[in-house]
Amino acid sequence: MEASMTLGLIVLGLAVIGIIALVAWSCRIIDRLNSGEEKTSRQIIKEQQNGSQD
Amino acid sequence: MAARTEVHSELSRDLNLFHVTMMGLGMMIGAGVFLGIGNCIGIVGPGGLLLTFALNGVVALFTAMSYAELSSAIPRAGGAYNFARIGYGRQASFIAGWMEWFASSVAGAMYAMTFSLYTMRFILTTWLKLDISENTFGLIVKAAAVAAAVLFIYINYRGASETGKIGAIVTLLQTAFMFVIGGIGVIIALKDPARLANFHDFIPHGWLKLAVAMGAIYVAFEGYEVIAQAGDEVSNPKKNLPKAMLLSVLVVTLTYVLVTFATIVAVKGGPDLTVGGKQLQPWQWIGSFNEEGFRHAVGRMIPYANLLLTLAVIFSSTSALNATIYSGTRASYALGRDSMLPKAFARISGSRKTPWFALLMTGGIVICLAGFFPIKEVQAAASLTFLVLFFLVNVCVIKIRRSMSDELTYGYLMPLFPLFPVLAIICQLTLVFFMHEFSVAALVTAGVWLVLGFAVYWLYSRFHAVATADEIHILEEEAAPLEPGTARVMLAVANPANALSMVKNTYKICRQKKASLELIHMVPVPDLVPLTDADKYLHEGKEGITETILYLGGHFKVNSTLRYCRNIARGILSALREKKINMLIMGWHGRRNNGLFSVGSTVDPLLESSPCDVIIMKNCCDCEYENILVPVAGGPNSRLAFETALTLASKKTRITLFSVVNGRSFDPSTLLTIDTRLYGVKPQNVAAKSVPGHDVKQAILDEAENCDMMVIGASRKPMLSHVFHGTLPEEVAEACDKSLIMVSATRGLRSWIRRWI
Repeated sequence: MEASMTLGLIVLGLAVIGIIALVAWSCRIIDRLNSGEEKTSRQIIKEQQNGSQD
Repeated sequence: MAARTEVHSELSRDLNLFHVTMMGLGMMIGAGVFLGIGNCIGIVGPGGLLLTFALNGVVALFTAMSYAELSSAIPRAGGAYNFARIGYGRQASFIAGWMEWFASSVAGAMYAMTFSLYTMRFILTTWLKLDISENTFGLIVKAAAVAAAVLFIYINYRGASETGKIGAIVTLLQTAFMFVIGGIGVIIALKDPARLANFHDFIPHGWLKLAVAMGAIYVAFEGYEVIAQAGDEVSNPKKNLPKAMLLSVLVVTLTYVLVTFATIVAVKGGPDLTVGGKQLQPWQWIGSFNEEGFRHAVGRMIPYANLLLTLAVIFSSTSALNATIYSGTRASYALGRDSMLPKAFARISGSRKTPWFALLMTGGIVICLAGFFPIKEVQAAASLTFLVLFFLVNVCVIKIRRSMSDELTYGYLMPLFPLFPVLAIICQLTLVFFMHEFSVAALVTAGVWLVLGFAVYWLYSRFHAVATADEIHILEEEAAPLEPGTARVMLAVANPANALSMVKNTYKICRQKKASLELIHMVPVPDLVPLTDADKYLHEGKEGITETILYLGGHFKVNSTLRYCRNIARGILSALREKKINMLIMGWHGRRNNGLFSVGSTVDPLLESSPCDVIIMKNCCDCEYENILVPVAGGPNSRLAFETALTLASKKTRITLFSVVNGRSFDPSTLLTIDTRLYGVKPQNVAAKSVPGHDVKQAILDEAENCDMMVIGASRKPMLSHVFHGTLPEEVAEACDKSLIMVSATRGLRSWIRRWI
């Protein structure tokens, strides 16, 4: 297998997996943020930091 | 006499997640992929084509995340136009809306032409087998393109509900068809693995060609823009808008990669792939048919491919045409709504609830382009204008998150901010750079439209634009002419008492810097109070400014400004940037806000985002200080704190540079290299002192008991980090009951960048 093909397939795989992972991560964030009351970004970040402390 | 009542029209919210996701998909799974495969495979080769679609998906997702975040916080019709208005004001927003309108309309013309080209080719050449000249065929194609545009203008006129439902059904069918093609390709590759040899050479002309191909087919990835336009018509927009954007990019990228794979394995290598007496590789053979390469390749894989693909093109082009007309209409509607274009653009049909005049104007552009311009140039112009538009949105998302974090409620916050918008900006600039190789005519067309936009703004929009709730307005301003190069100090005045407490220190600072003085009072007016009533809130600020001018007007050139705003910090930041201020001075009442802020909702954003030095004064008075304590820890703010102390000192003042040795040590005497005589302070009046101690805060406060003034550098930690760690300088500042000054030095390149984003 030529080197450019090997590299190309790695890049292709990373791109596709990256897209799926980012969309999944983002959808989780959307569901979480929309499950309660409306918040500003400052409140959200504070809650996230408190969560990571627990 | 009966009171006059206004009839309020608004768009109906009847699109759900499925509708808007399909709307975005319909915009993307259109002519771009059908034309792009044949046109680009010759540039990048078989493997390169797979990478082109996958990497374009990545770039599109980065921008879609920016759109998703902004749309979840500002879910209104207008998309990029609204984002730019909130981020950068009227002129930027007008240009964004203007380009958005054009980009969507150009894309609409491209889809109408593609639809017409494929259907007329099938009907006239394949089905009826008519022998007609290319000129006649070209005229028929243009007439059919115009007819298709007229049809979908009418469908859009019937209203959002019909638009969304028709578009959703058409898009669902075409997506299913594309997946069937992809599935057949996978089955063929499994049955005959030798076809995988079609991927040699993987990228025959080098990796840089990827950028050319990506730019050329970028228009196939811009569907999330139309979703942003639907902000006024989507149910639960904070959730549905961002989800629809991200899901549509995911589905479209997987579809493109799958279909590209199927196209390449569809052709079996052999002696029948000969063109002009030359034996070609399968990918070369596909590329030899240019925009029809996809049709020829798939024709070798499935029966009745010609008919099926013509049907697919009809589905895809018409749904994309539908979506682009929708998007262009909403962009011009938003411009009309805010009086940036004549109010007629905002007229909404009473029965259909659609902005009929904006639709008519958008349709006019689509019809003109489809009727008179070549398809390749139209496609390139669409890609270029979308790239420019998306670049602007990625800048806006950074700016808005930084400057309005406490004013907007978000339904989505992108992770690892600002990594993805920065990556998107870099990628888009690269693609624009390579676009010049693709079409010079596109650059000219986009440039002419841009110049026309500036002309419309300067001749019409800036005189008619109405204020929105997000803007900052100058109510009164007195400006004295200044010599170039003069340093500028801004004093933010809240009320007469606050102004008088800062007058003497401000005088000393301006004298030391040989600076002019800008006085500003921001008038925070609640959202529900109209602009016309803002003068009720002016009284205290006016008095404060008048008092300050009485004291300082005879010594320095003084300008004064009163501004209306919804948020004081954002208003002051805006003024700092506009007036190119070198130092900001403001007062602080001394009580820290709840746990969400390090100092307060006004001071925190100014310390974090100010493009200049900031001085915060607490408990200051009109007196001479005998002992000034300067706690230092070695950062850049320590130097500014020391310089400020020297500036405020009189000949008799003693200054103590104070450090607490606790783990990491800093020798305060290193700051004594500053020539104190430049400030009129004798060197023997400055001393350095270090003491050991575990409780740094208490050690500083104990030392402060012997002083009448403390000058301390603010924390350099990013905004919000205090929520997790706490910030010592701000805790000391709150606990200290003496006169106190907190300083924050400008941060070089970082502050320069912050002038813009």
